[in-house]
Amino acid sequence: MELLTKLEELVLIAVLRLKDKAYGISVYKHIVDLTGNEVSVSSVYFPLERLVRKGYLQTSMGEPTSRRGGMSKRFYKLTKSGIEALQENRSLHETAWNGVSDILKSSEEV
Amino acid sequence: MSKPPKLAKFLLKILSSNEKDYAFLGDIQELFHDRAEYQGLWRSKRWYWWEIIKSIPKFFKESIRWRLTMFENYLKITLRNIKGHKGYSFINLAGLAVGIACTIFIILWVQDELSFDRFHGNAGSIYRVVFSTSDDGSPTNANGSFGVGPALKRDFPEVKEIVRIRKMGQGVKRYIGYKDKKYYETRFFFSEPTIFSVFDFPLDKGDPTVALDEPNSIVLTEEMAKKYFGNEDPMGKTIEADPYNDGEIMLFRITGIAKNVPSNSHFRFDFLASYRSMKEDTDEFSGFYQHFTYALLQGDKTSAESLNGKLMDFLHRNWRENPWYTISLQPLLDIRLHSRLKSEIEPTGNILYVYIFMAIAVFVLIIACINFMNLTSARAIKRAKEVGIRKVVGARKNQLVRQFLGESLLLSLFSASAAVLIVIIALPMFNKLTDKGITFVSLTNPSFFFNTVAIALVVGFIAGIYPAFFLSAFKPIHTLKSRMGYSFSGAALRKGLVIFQFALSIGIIFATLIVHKQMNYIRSRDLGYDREQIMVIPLSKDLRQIYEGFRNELLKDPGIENTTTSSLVPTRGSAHLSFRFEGNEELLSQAIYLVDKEFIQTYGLKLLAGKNIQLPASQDQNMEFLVSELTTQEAGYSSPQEAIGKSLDLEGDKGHIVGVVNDINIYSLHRQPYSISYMITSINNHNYLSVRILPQNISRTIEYIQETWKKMVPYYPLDYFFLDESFEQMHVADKKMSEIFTVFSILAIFVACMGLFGLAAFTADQKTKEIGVRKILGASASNIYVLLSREFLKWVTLANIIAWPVAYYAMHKWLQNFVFRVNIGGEIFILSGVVALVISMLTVSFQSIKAAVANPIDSLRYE
Repeated sequence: MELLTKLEELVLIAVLRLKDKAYGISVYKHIVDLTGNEVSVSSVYFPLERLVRKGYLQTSMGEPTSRRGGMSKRFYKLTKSGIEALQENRSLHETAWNGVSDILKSSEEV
Repeated sequence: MSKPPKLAKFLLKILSSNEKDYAFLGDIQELFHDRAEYQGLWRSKRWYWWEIIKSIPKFFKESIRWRLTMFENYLKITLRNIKGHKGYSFINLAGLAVGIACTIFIILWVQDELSFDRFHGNAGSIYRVVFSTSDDGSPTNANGSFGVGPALKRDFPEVKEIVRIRKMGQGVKRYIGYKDKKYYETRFFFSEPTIFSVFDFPLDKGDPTVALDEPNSIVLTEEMAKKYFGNEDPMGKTIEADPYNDGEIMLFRITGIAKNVPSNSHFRFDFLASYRSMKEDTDEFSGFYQHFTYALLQGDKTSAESLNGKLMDFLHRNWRENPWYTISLQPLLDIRLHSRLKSEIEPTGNILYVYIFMAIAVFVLIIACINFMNLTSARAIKRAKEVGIRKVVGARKNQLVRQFLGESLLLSLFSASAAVLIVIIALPMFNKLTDKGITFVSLTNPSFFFNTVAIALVVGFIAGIYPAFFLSAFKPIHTLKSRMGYSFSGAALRKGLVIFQFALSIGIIFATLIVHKQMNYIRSRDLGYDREQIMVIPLSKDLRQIYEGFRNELLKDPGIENTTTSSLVPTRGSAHLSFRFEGNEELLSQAIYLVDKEFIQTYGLKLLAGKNIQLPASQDQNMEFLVSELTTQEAGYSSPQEAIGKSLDLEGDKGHIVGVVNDINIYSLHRQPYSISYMITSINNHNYLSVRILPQNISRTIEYIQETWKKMVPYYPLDYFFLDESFEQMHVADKKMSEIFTVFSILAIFVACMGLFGLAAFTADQKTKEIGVRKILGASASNIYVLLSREFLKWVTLANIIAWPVAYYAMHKWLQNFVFRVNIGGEIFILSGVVALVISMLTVSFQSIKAAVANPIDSLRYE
């Protein structure tokens, strides 16, 4: 399996959450809210496009609006392999953390 | 509504290339408006800028990644195209490679010509003092008198240093001996010690500051040290020499070994004897010798110019009120290419040839480029589908232009590497052809590399730009719908290019024919004397003493017709004196030949009036003279007969004309013949023995002469030359030029033919179906042949009409170089046209015949 970066994972989860309202800005805002860091738009945008290239996301175009300077929105949606990738990463995560919380707790006690 | 900063938006638009990037653009703008509502315009503008600046590196990374992907694809397609069409690719690549190789060679040649004398550290500040005997004071002679140099240094503070050198024996070699090693040498000089400070001639051994101080010291080159001393150390050893060729052996102590003089020096020495060993008074202003004066000046060019203005006064002050020559300064760096003076130490080059060869290089390259353009755009039809597909899947026009341009750049870089290979292989041949010593080392020079790459890029660009735009302009709907029609656009331009290409080739053929005609003319021209089978032996003191006996011994051999001795022989210099002839007040300058009474018979001169001279000249009697026909004209006599018996005055001595002979050319055919006066003197004033031998059994006769020499003049080795060879030697530059011309014109035509071959193949290929149908309907093979060849015939004919006037004009100019020249006759026009026609028809016919005799079944099954 291919490991996702943290940012990619967060982006995928955001797209999953936002369902059919997932486009550049909504994903960006979601990430900013979640992490509390004011990152740049492009640092979310390029990972999104990378995930499209990997086949985890598919896109569709919305209607252009004047508020956007005549540019269309680009909506994102998880593909089947995107969902699989998320699942795999999650189970990997859980396997990796399995039992570690006990050690963390006990080390706090020391 | 507020707007985002225009410049930033513009920047982003440049960076973004597709719809997903436009979505990003839209997102940013939407956020900008959101922010503007709660943050204020100024802050949101700053935010907008900041967002874009941060996105730039990411866009950049992205675009490189895409380019690499596309590049991989382009490369694959290019290689596939090369492999899939081996014939065309070979013609394209080979044509370009030969073209580029020609250009590289010519650049090497030009660089070498331009590099002459530049290896001296002071090159820019060294001037040669040149002499003029003409009325307008324009320089005529590279050589001159002894005394000018030191006086210049004394009189002008801006003259930092002076060096005087004197070459011994222009034409006659000088005897040098060490123990049993005895040779005749051509590069023997006397030189002032300053030669090592003015010029950069490094010494391997010895101290340059003192090496030439003492009388009878000498510096030789490494090469000569090896020749005479082998592995011995020559320093301090003594060699014998006869620099004045008067039989008086002088001894020289070796005080230095110089590095061999580079081949791009306008003079090269093998022996430098100290100036103080010379016998003459070296402060004398009168009289010209094979003597050359160089000045190292202080300051820049203007100081030379201002000094030039003061030189007339200088001559008045130091010499006489009424000087018969004037002097001026010539920059050292002008000597190789811009000097056309008499008595140069070595033959110079000619800037005209530099221009001509550069023009040829450009022509050959243009021809190769045209091949490339034609073949690529003609074959475009084969790639129309590729262009269509690329466009359909979203390639933009400039991407396609870049692809095809990149392809041609790649091909021309390929060709350039092949060209370098050709250059490396052909370098020895090239050196032989041009008499240059270009080494492989000069090919490792970084400038060579950059030049080659630069040529490749320029060629790739020029050759690729038209096909690139041509191909990328295809409309996908046309290319994909069906096969494209035969008559696609661009055919007219292609025709034009082929015609232009052939016009160039015909021009080069034309020029080559003229050059050859002129060279043949030179070889066969009647010079007024019979130069065939005359063997010339320089006289030495020993030989002069026993000449009568030697002559009688030689005449015993049936192969030897006659012998004569003279002060000079044609092709080897001249001496001039001023005469005053009866009935003419003016002083006439005459070349003077001191001869014996056998001279006119041995040299085959024709007596036009009077009789041959008989008596040796002496001052107490009326001297006898033979004069040339030209002399009688200059003196104002109406006929040779009228000149007989006329008296003359030779700087106080009296004489009279007893005979008139025909004019002879004592120099090359670049010059007018001189008027010559002949008088008999004792053999002590003579330098050459000329032997006329019969054409039968020459080698046996030479053997006999050698045996006789060994018997009678045992101390010196025999040295001789043949007059006709010596004459050829004077035209060696012309001959080289004609050889180089021939080689490059053959190459130009070869490259042009390759293109034509490719184009003919393509045309035949395109018309396969038409040919098949025609044959089925009853056309014969010859009909088809005519059909396919007619077009090319028209092109070549048109090219002739364009080429002729241009070539005529250019070659007419070149011929002005010669005083004696051929006419550009009608046969040259016809021949150049016919040669081009025949070559091109042969080329085309190969394809046409192949197509014409093909079985129509095969051609109709073609689809």
